[in-house]
Amino acid sequence: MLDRLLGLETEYAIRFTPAPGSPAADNDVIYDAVRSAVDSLVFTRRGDGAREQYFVENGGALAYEFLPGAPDGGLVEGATPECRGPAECVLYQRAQDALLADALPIAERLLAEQGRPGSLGLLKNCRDAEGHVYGVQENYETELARGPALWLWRAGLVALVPVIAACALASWVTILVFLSLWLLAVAAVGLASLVSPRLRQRDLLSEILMSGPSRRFERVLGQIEYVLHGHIVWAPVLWPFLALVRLTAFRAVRRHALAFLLSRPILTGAGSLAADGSFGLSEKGPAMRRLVRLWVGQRDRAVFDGGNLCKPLLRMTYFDLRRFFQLFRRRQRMQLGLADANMAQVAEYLKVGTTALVIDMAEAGALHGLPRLRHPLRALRAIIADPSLQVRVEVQAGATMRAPMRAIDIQRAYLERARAFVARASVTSLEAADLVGLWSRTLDALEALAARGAAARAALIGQLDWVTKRYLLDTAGAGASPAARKKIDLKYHELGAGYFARFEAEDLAPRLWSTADIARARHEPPSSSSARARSRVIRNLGRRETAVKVSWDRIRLGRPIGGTVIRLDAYRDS
Amino acid sequence: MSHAVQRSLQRSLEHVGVAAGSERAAEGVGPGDAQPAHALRDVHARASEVVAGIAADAAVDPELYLRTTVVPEGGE
Repeated sequence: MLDRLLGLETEYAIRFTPAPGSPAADNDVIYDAVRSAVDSLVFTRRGDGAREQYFVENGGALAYEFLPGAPDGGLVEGATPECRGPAECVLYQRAQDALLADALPIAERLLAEQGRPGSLGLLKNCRDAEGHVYGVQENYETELARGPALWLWRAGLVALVPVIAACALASWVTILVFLSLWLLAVAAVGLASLVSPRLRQRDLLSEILMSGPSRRFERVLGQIEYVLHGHIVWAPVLWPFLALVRLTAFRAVRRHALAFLLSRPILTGAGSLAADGSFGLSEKGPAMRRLVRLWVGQRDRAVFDGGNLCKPLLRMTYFDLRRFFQLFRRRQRMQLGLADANMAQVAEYLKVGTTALVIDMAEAGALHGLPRLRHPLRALRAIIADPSLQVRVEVQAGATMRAPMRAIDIQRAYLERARAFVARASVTSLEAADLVGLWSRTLDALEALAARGAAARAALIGQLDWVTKRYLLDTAGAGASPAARKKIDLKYHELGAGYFARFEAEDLAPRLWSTADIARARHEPPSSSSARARSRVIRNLGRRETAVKVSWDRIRLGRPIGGTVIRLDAYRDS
Repeated sequence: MSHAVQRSLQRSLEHVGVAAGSERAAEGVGPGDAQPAHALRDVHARASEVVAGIAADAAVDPELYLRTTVVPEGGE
C-alpha cells in the first residue's frame, strides 16, 4: 500500500524586475543564471538528450521548458526524483523548492555581473495575470491495463509500426528540406551582399546569423518545425495512438477514480482570482477541456494527460527503439494534468497521498459501486466555481440516478472506502492510517466551513491553499485595487519571499517536514533504486571532468561508442 | 522512506491539528482548544503582523508585478 513510484513535475514562472535604467533579460538567460546558481549549491550533470536538462545530486532534474515559438519566454521546470510513496514525494518537492529559493540571490548576483541588475523571483503557480496556464503534473506508476485490454494495447502498438516507420522517414525528409532551404537562404543573402553595396554595408548575413533578427528567425523556424513535425508529419501515428490510449489505458482508474479526482480541488486547489473578481478553488481546473487527451496541442488540456506516452513515438524519429519497447510494459507512468501547485505542505501531501491511495484501491478493485459523475467536466466547473462548497452535482450508481451530491460528500464516500481498505489490509501501513486520519479531519473542517462560512475557516488556514489565499484576499486585500488583489493571488506563490512563505516563516502554517529533513533531501536520493543509482553516480563524480550523460532510465559513462551504459528502471521515459 | 523520516512525518501529522487550533486566534474567532492564552495572543499578533505586511507590499506598484510575471502559455 502506498508503495508505488511517483513524482511531481513543476513549472515555475520567472519574475524579473530590472533595476531602474537597466535592461530586461530574456528567460533563457535567467534560466542559465538559475542553473549556474543551483550548480554552485549541489552537484549537477547534463542530461542525455537534446533538451536543456540537468540532473541534480538527489536524482531529480531541472530543465528550461519553452514553446518552440517562444525560446526566450520559457519556464524553469523541476522534476522530483522517482519517489517511493507520497510522503517521500512531498519531501523531495520541498527540497526542490528550497534549493531554487536559495539559488535566487546567487542568480541575481550572476545577472548583475552580466550587466542585468534586478530582482528575481520564481512562482510556483499555474496561471499568470493574463490567464496563461502552465504548472504542475502528477505522475503515478500505474497498471495500464490487464487481460484482453492489455493485449489490445500491445496489438495496437504492433499495428502502428509500419506507420511509425513511414512517419520517421517523412520526418527526416522534412528535416533535410528545411536544412537545404536554410542553407539556400544564407547563400542567397551572401551572394546578394556581394552584388549590392547597400546590403554589404548593412552586413545582412551577420544580422541574420548573430543578432536580434536571428532570434525572431529562430522563433519562426521553431514554430514551423513544431507544427510540421508534431502536428502534420506524425499525425498519422498520434491520432490512432491517442485513440488507443482512450480505449485501453488506465481504464480502472479513469472509471472508478474520476469522481474523486474532479472533487479533489476542495482539498488541493490553489485558489484563483478571475478577471471579473470572482474567486475559484483551482488555477488549472478551468483550463481542462477533456478527460483524456485527444491531441498533443498545448490547448488540449486533459485530466488524464497521455502526452508522456506519445514521447517514445516521437523519439522514433531518432530510431530510439528502446523507449518504444518500454510502451509494451504493463505498468506505465500515468500523468495527471488536473493538478494545482501547492504552497501548503498539508495540501500537497493530501493531493499526492489520497490520490496514491485511491489508485491502490482502483487497482485492487475496491472502488466498485461508488458514485460516478453524470457530466464530469460540467461537475468539475461547478465544484471549482463554488468556494461555499454547497453546489451539488449529478451522480449515478451504475445506470441508476442518485440524489445530487456535494464535493465533500463525494470525497467522504471515497474516504470511507479508504478507511475500510486500510483496515482490512493484510500488512498494516502506518502512513496510510495517518493519511486517512488527516483526510478525515480536513473534510470535517471543510464541512464546518460549508456550514458556518468564513467564521469556521481558521482551522484550515495554512493547511489548504485556497482557504489561505481567500483569507488573505479578505483581510490584506480588503478594499485594495483589483491589481493589488491580483498581486496577492500571484505573490502568494513566490518561492522564498512570497506571501505564503511569510506565513510559514512565522509558524502560521503547519510543516510536515523539518528544515533538516528538507536540507538532507537536497543531497540524498529517495529510496527508489533508479534515483539512488543516478544520485550515486552524480555525487561520486562530483565536479570531475568526466564524460557522462544522465537520463531518467540510464546513465552513459564515457564516449557514445565504447562507453558503459548503466540501465535504471523505466518509470520515466523523457 | 527511512524510519527517521517516517517518524518525523508522523510527529508532524499529530501536530497539524494543534497548529490548526492556534490559527483560530489569528482570525479572532476564539481559541476553542486547550492552548494557553499567551500562546494564542502570540499567534494572533504574528498573524496580524503578517497580514499588515502583505497588505502594504501588495499596494506597491501591483501593475508592474503583474506585468513582470506574465509568461507565454504552457511549456508543459
